[in-house]
This record gives sequence, structure tokens and C-alpha cells, in this order.
Amino acid sequence: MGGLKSRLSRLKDLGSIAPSPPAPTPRTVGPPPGWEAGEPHEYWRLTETSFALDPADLERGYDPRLFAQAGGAASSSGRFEDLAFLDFETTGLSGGAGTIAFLAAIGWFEGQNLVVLNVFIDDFPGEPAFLARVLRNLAERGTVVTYNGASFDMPLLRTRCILNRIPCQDFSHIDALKTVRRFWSGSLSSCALKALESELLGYQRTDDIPGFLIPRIWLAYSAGGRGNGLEDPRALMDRVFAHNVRDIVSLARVFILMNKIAENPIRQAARARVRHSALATILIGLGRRSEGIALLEEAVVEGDSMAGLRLASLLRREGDWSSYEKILMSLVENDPRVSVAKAKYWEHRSLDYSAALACVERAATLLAAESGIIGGSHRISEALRWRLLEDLAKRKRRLEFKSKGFRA
Amino acid sequence: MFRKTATDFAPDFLAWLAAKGELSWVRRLDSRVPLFAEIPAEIHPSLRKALELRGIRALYTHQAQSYALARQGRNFVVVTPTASGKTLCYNLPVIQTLLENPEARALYLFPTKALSQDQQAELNEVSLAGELGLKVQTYDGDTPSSLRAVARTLGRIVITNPDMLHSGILPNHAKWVQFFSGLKYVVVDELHSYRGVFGSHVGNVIRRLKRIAAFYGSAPRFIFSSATIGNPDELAMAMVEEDVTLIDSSGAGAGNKIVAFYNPPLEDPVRGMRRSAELESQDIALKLLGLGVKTILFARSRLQVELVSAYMNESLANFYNDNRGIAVRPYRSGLLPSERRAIEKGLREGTVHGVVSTNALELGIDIGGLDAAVIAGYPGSMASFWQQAGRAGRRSGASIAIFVATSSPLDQYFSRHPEYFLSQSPEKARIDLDNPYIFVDHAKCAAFELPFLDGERLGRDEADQTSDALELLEEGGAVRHTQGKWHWSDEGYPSEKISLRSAGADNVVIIDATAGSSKVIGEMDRPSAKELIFDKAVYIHLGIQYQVKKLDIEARICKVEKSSLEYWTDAVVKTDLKVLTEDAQGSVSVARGELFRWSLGDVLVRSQAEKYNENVGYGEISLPPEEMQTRALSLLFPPGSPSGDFLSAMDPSRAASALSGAATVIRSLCPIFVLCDQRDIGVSERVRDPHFQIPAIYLFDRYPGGTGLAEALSDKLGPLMGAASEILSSCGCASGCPSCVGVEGRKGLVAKFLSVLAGQ
Repeated sequence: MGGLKSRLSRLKDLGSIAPSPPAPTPRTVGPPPGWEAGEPHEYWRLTETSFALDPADLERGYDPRLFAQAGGAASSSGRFEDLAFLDFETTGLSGGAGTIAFLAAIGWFEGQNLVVLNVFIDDFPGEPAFLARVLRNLAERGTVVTYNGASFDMPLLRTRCILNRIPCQDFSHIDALKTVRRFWSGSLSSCALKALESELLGYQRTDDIPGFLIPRIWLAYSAGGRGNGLEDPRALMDRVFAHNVRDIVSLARVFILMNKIAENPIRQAARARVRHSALATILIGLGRRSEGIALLEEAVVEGDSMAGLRLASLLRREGDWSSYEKILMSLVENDPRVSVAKAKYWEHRSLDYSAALACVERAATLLAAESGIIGGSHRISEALRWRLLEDLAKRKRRLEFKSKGFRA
Repeated sequence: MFRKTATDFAPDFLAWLAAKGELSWVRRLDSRVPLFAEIPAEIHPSLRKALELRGIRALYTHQAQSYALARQGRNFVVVTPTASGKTLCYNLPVIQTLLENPEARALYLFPTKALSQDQQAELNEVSLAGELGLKVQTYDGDTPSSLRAVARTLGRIVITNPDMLHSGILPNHAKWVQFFSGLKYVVVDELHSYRGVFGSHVGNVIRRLKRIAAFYGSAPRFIFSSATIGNPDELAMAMVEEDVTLIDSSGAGAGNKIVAFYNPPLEDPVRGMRRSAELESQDIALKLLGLGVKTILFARSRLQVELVSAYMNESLANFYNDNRGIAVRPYRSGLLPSERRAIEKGLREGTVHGVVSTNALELGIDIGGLDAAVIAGYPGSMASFWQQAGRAGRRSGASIAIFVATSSPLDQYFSRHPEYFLSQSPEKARIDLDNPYIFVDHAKCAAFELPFLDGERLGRDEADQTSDALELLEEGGAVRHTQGKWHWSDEGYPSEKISLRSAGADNVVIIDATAGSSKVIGEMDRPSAKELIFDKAVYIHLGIQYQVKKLDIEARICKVEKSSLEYWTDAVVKTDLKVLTEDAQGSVSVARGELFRWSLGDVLVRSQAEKYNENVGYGEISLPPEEMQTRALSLLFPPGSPSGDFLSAMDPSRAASALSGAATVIRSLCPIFVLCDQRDIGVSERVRDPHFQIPAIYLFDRYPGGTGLAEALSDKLGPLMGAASEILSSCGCASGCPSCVGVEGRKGLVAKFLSVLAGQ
């Protein structure tokens, strides 16, 4: 059928394939200003940020259990000097084998400061050297700390190594996002690093490059010129470098902050906007029961009924029935879940079905009246609402049956 | 009472059928004695034991042959009837290999999602995977993310569909290292469903699969299974671009089967209108149920399934009162798995007696225990027909299948030609992996998965278009060539935008905007949209009538509102053709000489819906024309040939009628010879063609770039003309009907022209 090239080009004439963009301007070689040249197309630089770290804190280390992840890799050492904070910038956000990392920031503590190594490639052939330098520097520290790296940076690193046939060791890995969620989920506007900066660290980014632009900036940069409607990829790339370093600095600061809070929970929690009940759960998980209970008690005094429920159920599990009863009965029924807990108590513990029924009625009223924020700002989702309604109906039927049965 | 076999009830029933309408023909297929072979000595003891536990102490001969070929490292395709134990053909060698080699993996591809779920259930049963400690894992859109990691790393057999392989697995191959490194077998079931556009896409997905497997150092063998089609081995070889051995003699036994062809009575003999096949099928199924025969009815659409089953249950209400308690259930795609399982259980346990289904059931799902199948209208291919007919009487005992004809020329042709059903299937399935549009799409995906090296080809690529495609992509910025490699250089994820099943991501979304609402009710490819849902067109969706308010081709949106107009609309489409290449020529001859010629090549088709007929008058349509480059087979009628002389002897308007009538009939019969839907083929005719300067009929592939239909038809022109001529000469209508040239066609004239083309 002759001339498939001509068939293909006819497709182009028919407009099925996008017309070609203007020819790229010739590429300029050499490192960006202030960078060292490594292997061909691969560059690196070091920057240092003062952290004013307390040497005593450094000495004490961090509690690895605070960052232990379900199903995660080997636990980390607990020493700050073993940490390598890592963040990649990539050519795409959807993942997959066609996405590469072109920029890495690796941070570690040195003295009182955070040192950040940037590794950068200006074209595809630099990738193996890029990966090798990244791996070398991670291996020097041993434990990698990322923000959402469990689902993004670490699989990406592994994928890139496989595609380049470079062996990649299994690093011990801490995804700080997971711990951040346990601390702050629901009490900050979001758990994005930027929200943490402005709401916790008192830092406002100016001139930050929007993340979605980063892939096309590098693709235009590596193609040697303008493209994708971007005015000057070189100037834009400087802002990508700054963005990348900032991510690492903030990640390290948040990491330190979480340790401080865990070390001295009572003093730090309020200032750092961690909800007491959340922190108490974390502490109890770390085996620090009395501190956890103290936090919960404080929260109950402040009217946090969910903290009260948590405390009550902890005591019940421990078999301390009288404290359980005391706490539970002291709780104000401003949340349907409190009423349900009381109903359970009346039904199973005291066998007082009419008291239990009264609680169920109150829970139903609360649930019907309220939507959104109730019970000390613990939100009830629509799904939970339905589940509770269903549960209440069942409970009510059973209680009515039981009370009738006894009367008869 | 529901345990009769066909031999008991057939005589009475057939007599009833003959009195009701025309019983065109009845054939009795004799039972077959099974042929056995020993289970190979090398079979792993635990596998042997598991087989024995299921009562399998010997293999059918085709199973033994499959096993031997697989173990020799050969690709093969198994073509055997329904219920002949074909799954064991691939399960046996695969499981044996997996048991011998703990690193080995296998990939099972099924055309649809529901099917892979069923397959897993069966595998866990037949493959005994549980007992043998082999993890079988379905991986598709429904697999929860918590199970995906397990499937990737631990799944020894992964079951998926081509779409998931294309957009989920291959683009993320680095997460599948162990799987691809150990990949030994790829099983492709239901091969016959991979034809045309879909098949051409899937062939390219297989090219990408082989490329990724090679990256991890493996070269899997391919095992295909197919329903009966004309060219299973050819199709398999085209798909995998390697040698494939054919296994087509079944060693399995079969019960007696009666196949009956029923033609509904003519309601309007002059206009050739017969009673609706669906209504007739309902009556027939009700009759069978009344006789105590478990029955399945195949309707042609989901909507029909619902309507027919509702109607049947209504009619059965009388039986119900008589305490017969017959229950009929709709069974179609779109039901939840649990709903389907409940129906299957009902059939097994005798609480459900009748099922109404679409072709969802034709694809190898075992519901068993049915004794009669009623098929309303030709299901589109012989392979589908036999799969549907095979639903009745899968294991043993006598059963019956009744084909209920529609008025279409195709169905009417079959009413006179039982041999098409009973001898070797003539339909050939075609794919074209090198369709330039499809090829470029997959070159994109492949570049995303792994950079191309200079000189590397995607698949065998005999047309050598890989580097052309990459250059084209580089011009668009999707890849970049540097230091001997072509790198993906786009932030997107290409496979997400490429559908394997439609003519591209170019569909128009149909939105119900009635009373300010905004609900998506369907979609349509762009070329069809211009002909069917232009402004003011009447559009029927699931039986509800809408009128188009605005078709916005640029935005790919069509807004419609519910309406109750008293008319329908029909676009008048003007088609222009320009011949771009003449790649092959030939002629069709009989002993006394050449009848007509043909030419095969690329054409540019430009079609424009110009006005519409609203059966009360005409309206204008103002839409830009649709242009497409594709493959066409041109039938040419040169002066001096009988066909040319026939046409030149009459005035041009008569010649035009002869050509257009012939083109209509020829198009409607193409599906007898090539696996396709008649909508896949476009026709256009010229009394004096501007390119060839003589009268011509074009048969063109309606998918851009072509999928091999034009090529396939060029081999079949003789028999095609014979069938077309016969349909006219044997049609009983007076002057054209829907079963031949159409109500407005000039029957006598067209019949004469077609007899010339057939050399009669």
C-alpha cells in the first residue's frame, strides 16, 4: 500500500495530529548559575539554612515509634543525623513509567543547620547520573523522610531505577504526611505543606510557582527554549529550584515540631493547634498512658465530649468500671454519639431499658436537628449520620422488645 | 416438570411452530462420542489429584493436544464448541508450569470485566488454585486499591481485560517487576471478539506487552481460544505476529441438538413486512415454558430484554394462578454481580425457568441447565449465533435452538441457506495493526512506557512506520529525540485519552437539558452525531423521545430536551470521495470473461448532512462536512464488460438507480463473509466516477485508516455478488421490500444488474 510515511503525513494534513510548534531555540549548555557540573547534563549545588537547633534536642533524638507506619519499612534509628529529607520535582503528576524526576532536594542536619543538596538534570540523558547521586546521598544517611512519599516519591524513585537498570536499596522510610494527619487532621484548613507553613510555622510563601506548572516548565527548558506558551523557562526554573528547597526546609521544620509536641505535649499542644484527643491517642499509642489521660481530662473540662468518650472507653477496656461510669455520666449529651454510649451503658450494664430508650430518643433528636458541626467541633459526616440513624432504629426496636418482654 | 429434553417435546412443538408461521428449515445434529486421551504422566501429583476430585480421569483429545503444544513452547489457538472443556486447554499447561516454577506467572485476558470475574470463580474451582496454593487475582477497574499491590506482587495468574492492560498495567509496568520477569503464558480468550477497530487496538496493546516483557527478559507464549470463525489461526497470527498452531477438532462429546429456522408470517406481503421477531420470540418462549421446557431468549438490546421479560411475566400471570409458578428473569450487562449470581442459582435450583438476555451471556458464562434457546434476529455473526444456541443443552441430552428471522436481507438470506449455519463458518475476522491512526496512538503509549531506541520498531511493523510516527510525535512535542533515544516529553498520561473501543476520544456527549436539568444520557462518535443529532433532530434514547436543541461540535456537546413530536427525522447525507492511492487491482471473471474490475486503496471521504427529512417536509442542516481518510474497495464497471455494457445501455438516472440499489444490497450482505456490522461499511456510487471515468461503487471502511475490511472483501467478491443476486431473485415481494432493495428500490432493474455481476 506504499508510502506509509505519506499516509501518516496525510493524516497530519487532515489535521488529526497537532501542527508542529515553532522550532526550538538552540540549547545553551552548562550549569545554571551557582551550580556545579557533575556528569553530562547533571548538576548539583548545596545550600544551608540556619535552624537554630538545640544541641540537647539533637542529642536526645526522636521517637521512631511516632513515625512508625502500618506495613512500613524497617523502623528508623531515632537519631537525627541518620535522616535525609527528600523531595522530587517531576515531569508529570499522574505517575507511570513516562514520568521522570528532574530535580531532587535532599536535606540533612549539620550542626545547628539544615544542609540541602539539589540535584538537577537539564535533559533526559542525565538521568542515570542523577539517580546515582541521589541514591548515594540517601544511603549515606539511611532513613528517608518525605511528605507523601509513600505514594509518590518512593515508588517514583524505584520506578526510575528499574527503568535505568540501577539497583535501588530498600531505604527505611518515614512518610511525615501520615503522622501530620494524625496530629492535625481536621484542625487545620488542610494538611498540605503550604497550609502547615502559614498556619503553624508562620511562614508565607511569596512568588511560589504553582505545582501544576512545574512539569511543563522543565519540558520547555530541556527542549532548549520557549514552548507551551511559557515566557522564559530559565527564569521560571529558578523559581522551581526555590520551591523545591522550600519544601525540604518546611518538611524538616514540621518534623522537628512534631517531636517537640510529643516531648512536651501539655505545654505545646494548644499552641500548635493539635486537638487534645488526637494527641492523647498518639501518646497512649506510644505507651505514655498517664500523659494521654491527663490530656483527655483537660479536654473534657473544656467541653470536648468526644475526648470524654475516648477516655471512658479506655477506662472500660482497662476494666475500671467505676471510673468509666463516672466519666460517662458526667458527659453532656451534646453529641448523639455520647447519647448512644450512655444508651449502651443503660442497656447492657444497668439493664435499665427505659433509661436507654430515653438516650436513644435524645440521640435521634440531636441527629435530626444538627448537621455539620456538633459536639465540640467533631464533624459528623453524611455517611456516619446514616449509619448512626440505622443503628438507632435497630437499637430502639430491640430496646422496645426487651422492655415489653420484661413487662409481660 | 422442568426436565424435558428436546426429543420429548420437539414433534409437537415443531408442528405448532409450522402452523404459526414459516418453518424454513430444521436440522438435527447428531450426538458425538467423546474421544479421550490419558492425563500426561508428568502432571504434578497435586494437580492430578485435584482433577480427579472433580471427576476428571482422562483428557479430551484436544485438551491433550493443547497441553503438548504448550509444553513445546508453541503458540496455539483452540477452536471448539461451547461446553467442550476449553478452559482446561489453557489451565492445565499454565498450572503445571506454575507448579514447577515458583517464579512463573500467567496473564489471562478477557474482553470484558464481568467475564473476568466469572473466570476467576471458575479458575478457583477448576484450577483448584486454592488447594494448589496458586494465587489467582482479578485486576480491573473494580479491584480495590488495597488488593492491587497484592495482585501485582503475589498474583501468579492475573486476570484482566485489554483496557486495563492498556491504561493501568503497562504504563505502570515497573510496579509489576516480578510479574513481567516471570511471565510465561498469555491467555487470550474469546479471540473472535477482537476484530475491527477493537482488535486492531488490542493487537497493538499486545505489541506493547511483548516489548515490556522483553525489557524484563521474558518472552511469553500465547494461547488463544476462539468461537468458530473462518480464520481463527490467521486472526491469532495477525494479533501476535508470530506462528500460531490451530487446534480445531474437539474430542468432547455432545448431545442431540435440533436447530430450527423460523420466519415470522408476512403481515404485508406487498411491502414485505413480517411480524416482529421480538414479538414472535416472546410467543415461542412462552409456548416452550408452557410445555415445561427451560428456555433462554436472546433479544438484541438491553431495552428489549427488559420489555420482553416484563411482557412474558405478565403473560405468565395466568399460569401463575394455575399454580405453575414459572418465573422469567432479565439477564443482561449492567446487572450487579450479586443479581446475576442469584439468577444463575435460581436456574440451577429450579426457581427460575426462563431467562431473557442480551449477548452478555454469549460470552462463555455458564448458567447451564437450559433446554431451549430462542434467538430473535441474527446476532451479528455465526460465532455469536452458535454461542447463543450453545446455551441450550451444554452437557448432554437433546436440546433445541430456534432462530427467529427479522425482515432484514441477511436474515432472509439465511432462511434459504441452512448450509451457512451447518458447514464451516465463512466469516473472516480482520484486524489491521498498522492502521496509521491506531499505530500512532500506541506508539505514543509505548514511548511513555519505555523510550524508543533509534531503529527500534513497535511490533513487527512490516510497514516500517515506527520512526515516521515518532518523528510526527516529536513535531507535536509529545516525544523528544536525544542521544539515540526517543523520550516521552509530555506531562500527560497518553493511554488515559485513548479508548480501545471507539473511534477515538472524539465523542459528542448527549445531555438531557429538559427543564433546566443537565444529565448525561449518552455519547456518540462525531461523524454519526452530525448525521443523527443535528439541531432539531428527533433522538430516541431508551425508548424516550428527545429533540435536539443544540449540537455544539466544537465543544462536543449535544443538548436535548424531552419531546413528544409526531415525526422522526432522517438526514440526507451527501458523500464525496477522492481516490488517493490505487494499491491493488483485480477483476471478477467467469468462463466467458471478465464481469467487472476492482481497485483497492486509500480514499478521502467527505460527507455532509445537508438537509433532513422530517416526513412532513425538509429542513436545512448547517454543519461542517466530516472528512476522513480510509481504505476503500472500488467496484468498477468498464465499457466492454457485461456490467459496463448493461449500464451504458440505459439513461444515467436508471443507471444510478441500478447502482444504488445494488450497493445497498451488497452492503447489507457483507456480514456474511467478513466479521463486521453493516454499519462498519459505507457505500457510495457514481454513474461516471471522476477518478476512474467509468461507473463505480465504493465500499469503504467507516473507521479512519481502515481495519482490513476492504482488503477482506476483495477476496470475497464472487460469492458476495452471488448472494446479492440471489436475495433479489428469491424475494417474494412485488416491487422491493425491507428484505431486499428497500421499499423505494427498483427491484426488477437491480435484480438484473446483480445477476450480471454474479455472471448469471
